[in-house]
Amino acid sequence: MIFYMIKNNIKLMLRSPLTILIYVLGPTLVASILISAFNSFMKSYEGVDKFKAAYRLEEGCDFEKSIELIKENFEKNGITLLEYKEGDPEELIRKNDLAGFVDFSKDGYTVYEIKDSKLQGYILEYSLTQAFEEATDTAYLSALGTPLEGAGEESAKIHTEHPEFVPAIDSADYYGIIEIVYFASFSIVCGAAFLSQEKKNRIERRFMVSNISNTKIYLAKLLSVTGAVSVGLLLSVIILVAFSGVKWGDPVLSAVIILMLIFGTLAMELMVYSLTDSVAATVIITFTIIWLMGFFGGSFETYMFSSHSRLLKNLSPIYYANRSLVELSCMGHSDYIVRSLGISASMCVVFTALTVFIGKVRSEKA
Amino acid sequence: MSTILKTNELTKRYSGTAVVDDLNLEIQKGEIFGLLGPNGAGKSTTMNMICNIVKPSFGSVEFMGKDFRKNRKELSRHLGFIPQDLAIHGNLKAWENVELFTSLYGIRGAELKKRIDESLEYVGLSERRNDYAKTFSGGMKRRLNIACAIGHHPDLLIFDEPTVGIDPQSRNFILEKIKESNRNGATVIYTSHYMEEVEAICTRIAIMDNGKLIACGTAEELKKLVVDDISKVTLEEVFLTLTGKKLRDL
Repeated sequence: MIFYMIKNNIKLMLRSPLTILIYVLGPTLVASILISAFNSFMKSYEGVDKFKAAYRLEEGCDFEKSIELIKENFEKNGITLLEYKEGDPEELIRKNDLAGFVDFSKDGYTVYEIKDSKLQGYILEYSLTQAFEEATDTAYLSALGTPLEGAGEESAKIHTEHPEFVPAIDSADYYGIIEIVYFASFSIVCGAAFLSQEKKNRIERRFMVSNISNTKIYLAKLLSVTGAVSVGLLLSVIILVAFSGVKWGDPVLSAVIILMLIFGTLAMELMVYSLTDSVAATVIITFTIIWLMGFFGGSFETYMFSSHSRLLKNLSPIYYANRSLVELSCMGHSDYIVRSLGISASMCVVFTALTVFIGKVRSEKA
Repeated sequence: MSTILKTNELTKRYSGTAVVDDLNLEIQKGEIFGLLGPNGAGKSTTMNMICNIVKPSFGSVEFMGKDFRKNRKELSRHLGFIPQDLAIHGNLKAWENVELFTSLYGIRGAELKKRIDESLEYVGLSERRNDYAKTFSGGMKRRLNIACAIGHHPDLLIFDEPTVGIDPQSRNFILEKIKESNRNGATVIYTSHYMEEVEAICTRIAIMDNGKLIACGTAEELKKLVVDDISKVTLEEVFLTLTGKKLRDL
């Protein structure tokens, strides 16, 4: 019976001009505007050529042993690393036209960056991580009995962190992807087309008389809205690929990530609907939540120059989907895929359980 | 005749006020049972409690010999409810509406197609099956509302004021169909404000006021409560005598 409910719910949604407008034209138009607005800006990221940075080594620190290896790796990335034993790092940067300064000490290292060379700063941080990962690997190999010059056992203790590294990406790919993610997260707007009809015509009475379970009604809503939104977004993706040349690194995996995000966020939105029992209130509340999630998750920022804190990003489920899809597009792989899928699946399970529980309590009280 | 539906001390209170108070009804299999009452008498709340839309504050509904609330899964398929407000989707075609609501009872595939055809044929909408419900006239929408509730072949049909706001032809059509359903074996509970309708089709009539049952019997039995010579009185006069002439929805 759920099949016929899903089928007819989808028909109701696809017959609403609002749905077509939002889910086909919405992402297409927003992405097209952002693509053209940030096209030249994002190209500058790829245009970073060779630059100079400096470093200082504290006597007796672990980095002494691997500094030559680090310098070698930096050269590969186009960074010339110069040693300054004396002086204030900020002053040295200013006077010597440096893009950054690395202060190696016994406790670790500090990277000084300047606002005007933020991109170079990112590259510097990334190169440091790369260099230390290599140094650590070398030290491990050494401990295993294949000693290499410049890498002692002590190097194995070097603590490496993964600073925020943003790979270069074309504006078409970036905005073409993140706007699809943003619209996918707000799928209740599509569902509003039939939810308001159901409410207005008091269709729930027929459900109550037939004794169809709350879980089945909920699943029919979840699956039908996901289906209709997927159709709309697929058309939008086709338009963006055809006219803006958006590249999806792994189309199948990307589709799974988006589909799971729709399930997760829609489950949350349907829970809000079950609490408020009002389509208008649900749209307003969930719009606010999704807008905030999108804002902190990168839907509206200029990608490389993120002004949001890491903590706020981590709190936004949209961030993980954005990041994994963008990295899939420009690098072909991403460490964020599992996290994105996991968060979406968890949201779906938790909010579904809550909605079914609320429905049960409601029907007991009716 | 056996009892198909029985209400035992059925009561519904909202904020301490009894909307339906200690209602005991017994409806026999095969009859057309009319439920009359002024606005606010508790008719719709009674219907909603019978149909499991509203939970009683006290009392129970016995349907086909079993407690309805406790045996909802088993008994729901024997009940068809035609609500007063149209419960159809305007953006679905006539056949899609019937498909959606008939499928709720687990009917699918070829059998579902057959039931859709039957239901639309029954209410005279076969030729308009591919038209959107929103393009229908008031009478056609009422007929579609009925078609959506009969596809699963229920034993008990509950009509809550099905002829409100429609032309005499549509009203006559619906009344004829109710009688036809009854002839085909369905028991009918029928609520209406139109006394002549109730008198014309119902085998027994109950009159409710202020949530209580104040009279129940055949039209003749009710008339005899007011005058000895029943030819001198209409059902409407009986109704007004029993419930009073004071306006209820001030």
